[in-house]
Amino acid sequence: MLEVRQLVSGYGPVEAVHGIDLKVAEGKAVAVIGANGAGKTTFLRTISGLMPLWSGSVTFEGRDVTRLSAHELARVGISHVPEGRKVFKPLDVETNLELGSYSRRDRTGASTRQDLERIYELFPRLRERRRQVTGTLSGGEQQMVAVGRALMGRPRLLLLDEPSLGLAPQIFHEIFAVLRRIMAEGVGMLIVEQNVRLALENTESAYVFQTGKVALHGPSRDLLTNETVKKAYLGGSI
Amino acid sequence: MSDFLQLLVGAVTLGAIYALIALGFNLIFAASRLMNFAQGDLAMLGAMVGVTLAGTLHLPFSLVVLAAVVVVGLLFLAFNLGVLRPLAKRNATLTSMVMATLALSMFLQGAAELIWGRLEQAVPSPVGSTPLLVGGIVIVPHYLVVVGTSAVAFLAMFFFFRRTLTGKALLATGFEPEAARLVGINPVSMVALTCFLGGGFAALGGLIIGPITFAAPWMGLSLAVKGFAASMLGGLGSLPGALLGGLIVGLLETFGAGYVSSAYSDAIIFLALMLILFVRPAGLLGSPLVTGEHF
Amino acid sequence: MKVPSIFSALLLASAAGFAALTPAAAGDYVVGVIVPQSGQTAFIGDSALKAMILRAEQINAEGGINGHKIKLDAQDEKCNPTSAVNIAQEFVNGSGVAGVLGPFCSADSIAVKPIFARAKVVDLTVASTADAITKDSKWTFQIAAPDGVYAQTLANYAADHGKKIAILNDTSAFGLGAYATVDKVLKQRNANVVAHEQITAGQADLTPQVLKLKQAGADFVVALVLGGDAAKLCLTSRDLGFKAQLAGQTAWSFPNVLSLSKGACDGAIFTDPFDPDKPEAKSMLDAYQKRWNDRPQSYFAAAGWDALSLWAEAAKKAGTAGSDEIDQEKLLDALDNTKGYKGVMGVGDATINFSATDHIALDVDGTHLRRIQGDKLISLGDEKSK
Repeated sequence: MLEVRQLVSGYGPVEAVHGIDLKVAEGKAVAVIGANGAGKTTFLRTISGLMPLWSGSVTFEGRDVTRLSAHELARVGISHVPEGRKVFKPLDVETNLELGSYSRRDRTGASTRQDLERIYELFPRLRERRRQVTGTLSGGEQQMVAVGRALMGRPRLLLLDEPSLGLAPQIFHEIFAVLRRIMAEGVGMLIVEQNVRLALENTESAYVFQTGKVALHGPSRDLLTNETVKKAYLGGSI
Repeated sequence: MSDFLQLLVGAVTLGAIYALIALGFNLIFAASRLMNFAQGDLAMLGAMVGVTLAGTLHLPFSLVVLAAVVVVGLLFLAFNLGVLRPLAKRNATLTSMVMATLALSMFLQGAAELIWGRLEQAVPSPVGSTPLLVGGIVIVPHYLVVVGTSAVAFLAMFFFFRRTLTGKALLATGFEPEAARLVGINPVSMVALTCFLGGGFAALGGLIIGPITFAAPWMGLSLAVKGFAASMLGGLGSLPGALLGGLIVGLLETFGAGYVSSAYSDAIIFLALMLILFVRPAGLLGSPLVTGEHF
Repeated sequence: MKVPSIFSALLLASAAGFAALTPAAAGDYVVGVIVPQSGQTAFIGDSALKAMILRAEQINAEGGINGHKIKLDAQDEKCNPTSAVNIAQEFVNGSGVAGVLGPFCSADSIAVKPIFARAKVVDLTVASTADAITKDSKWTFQIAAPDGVYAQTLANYAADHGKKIAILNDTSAFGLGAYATVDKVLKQRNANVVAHEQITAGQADLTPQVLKLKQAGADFVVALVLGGDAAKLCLTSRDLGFKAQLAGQTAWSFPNVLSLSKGACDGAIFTDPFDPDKPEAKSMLDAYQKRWNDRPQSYFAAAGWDALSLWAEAAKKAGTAGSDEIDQEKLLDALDNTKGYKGVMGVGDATINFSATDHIALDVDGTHLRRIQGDKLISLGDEKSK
């Protein structure tokens, strides 16, 4: 459903990503792993239109979305959960979630109500805290708000940037359990993750970035046992 | 006692005006973090529209209000599209954009001098000028227009931010511009919307203070200073803050002159501002979550 | 009402084009004019500059100064001392001027004083009323009556007619300076001053101050505030039922006081150095009306007219035919010997007399009180205080 070809991008005058090819299939989860500064986040931010794309192309469900800006991409069905969560801290939980439906041109009061119910069902904790100011929630709860907000747009592709950062493992597993249920409905997922083991254990395939290029890619299960990956990212602890 | 109430009438009226100026100021700040230093001169322009449409052409006041809000709102929107946007595209800093609003302020003042002349001019009030006597308190009928207009404007904005998704999206754009884009909010149209509303509310403030203070090209500065003080006092970017800040500035100015000394009424306002900012850097109702993120 | 103001600005610009403001030809006497042409005080400069242009045209038509034509080089002082100083530097360092008229704003006149003293150039200030204008410089003259003179007239009238006197002033340099002099005279006269209040120029609401004056039971208010604020004072006093006699300085004759106060200023009085019914004033106003299609009620046109006339009289004595320059020492000497000059400014038989130690054109006898009545400014005549 997502096909990236020869994507080149960077920040300021510095080229950080040098021609990446990548695919995500419907209902599948793809991980992008690699060391700090390998260009993972730049890559993800370029796809979702937050950073300018220098060259290459991005196709989503057969449609060329290379030149679309961030808010337009949200409207075609790509939701991005940004690094650091970036929830609207001074607003309450429900307002954060409601704003997630902003990208939906076909939204009605009833559809928003229905989607909110679904998010509360997926994250019962958010229902309890719906009137609470988001900035006062714990990190894990804020991540739930960020994911819930992204899901409110009824995306067909979810981009997740470092979803495990700063979270206790069991919270992350709780969130990931929800993401699996979403994937089962056919939503694709592209996850940039520092925690390589976590990423490989929870995805179908993975790309290993090294200094802005794809060094390796293949089924996540295979990469988990790959000697190079083990040595470089898993500390040989397997 | 009756003098106290008499002063209170004036204080609340002035406060309502300053609150309107602060409202426009805060709206623009809320979405874009831009401090618009032309706010006072946009208000002046609103008063000048009143001079021409109500004074010279004798149009009905409701029509004059509509015209002032739309004309000045569109003018600042055009400034946003024609100057601020291109600056942003060239990676100008927020500071240089603030400087651009300062340039607009000077330009508007010069242009107004050229079009309307340099002397103070009368802005007709929609209500009579015979003062009402309520228990020994003199109330100029126009004061009720001022307070009423301001109240309606604030109620409309409370509804807009509490009840409409567009209003909430506008706040979100200010809090987390990137995340706002990621949920499909176009920040460009949000900023454009606040520019229109901010200009419009400034014009409304200028138009309704006109019958009290007269309209003159240089009136913008003092309105901007008081509106800015109101905004800082109440909390930059906060809607209830603009209302509270405006009323406090109006009270300080009037009672400062009435009970302390008329020579120091402005100094009292800014002394209070400094004290409050010392204790609460984000202003009385400003959210530290907001300011902490951006300063 | 707006269209004519743009129109008159254009007219002024085009008139300047052929009358006075073009680059000087060889043999012309260039007179520098430092005049507010923008900002809050620009309208003051407007009628004065028009009167100067008209007077220069007259003199040139009559053969000029010993055969030399007058050219006016008018620069905008913006009522800002920095601008005025820059213009003054330009005048003394540039190709040279045969004399300077202006500035108008008091702070500007004080700021340029040392420049003209150092360069030894004669300066006739036009509408500056501060008391210190001519102090410590033999090169500076003052055409408008100083605040002290207005204040004396006003304060004496107040002392004669007010039982409980209140003073209200704005906190500008003008307001504070005028307050100091009024206060001094009232103290000398042992007048009963019951209140003193201040406002910020352009202040939105005068209720607090007017309430205090009312509380104090004042029956006479010496109001040292400018145009729009004067109108606001009248309106607020009327609204709050405060019925004291309001009295101000020349600023109360500004045209907008009448239009903004909508009759609330009726009966208010102000001191003025100008009597439009005096024959000299009448003939100037007739010529002005013919040339500019307007008849100013305030004194500024008269001041501009007299400044240029006084300079021209002295220049005739100081200049030599054939020389492009006027010896400023001789010009100063000629001005110092001005005696019994009957100007457009001044009331009754008052004349303008200068000496080496007196460069002030008008004294108490040269000013009178006028009363606002409808859209007219009426002379109080015999009611005038000694």
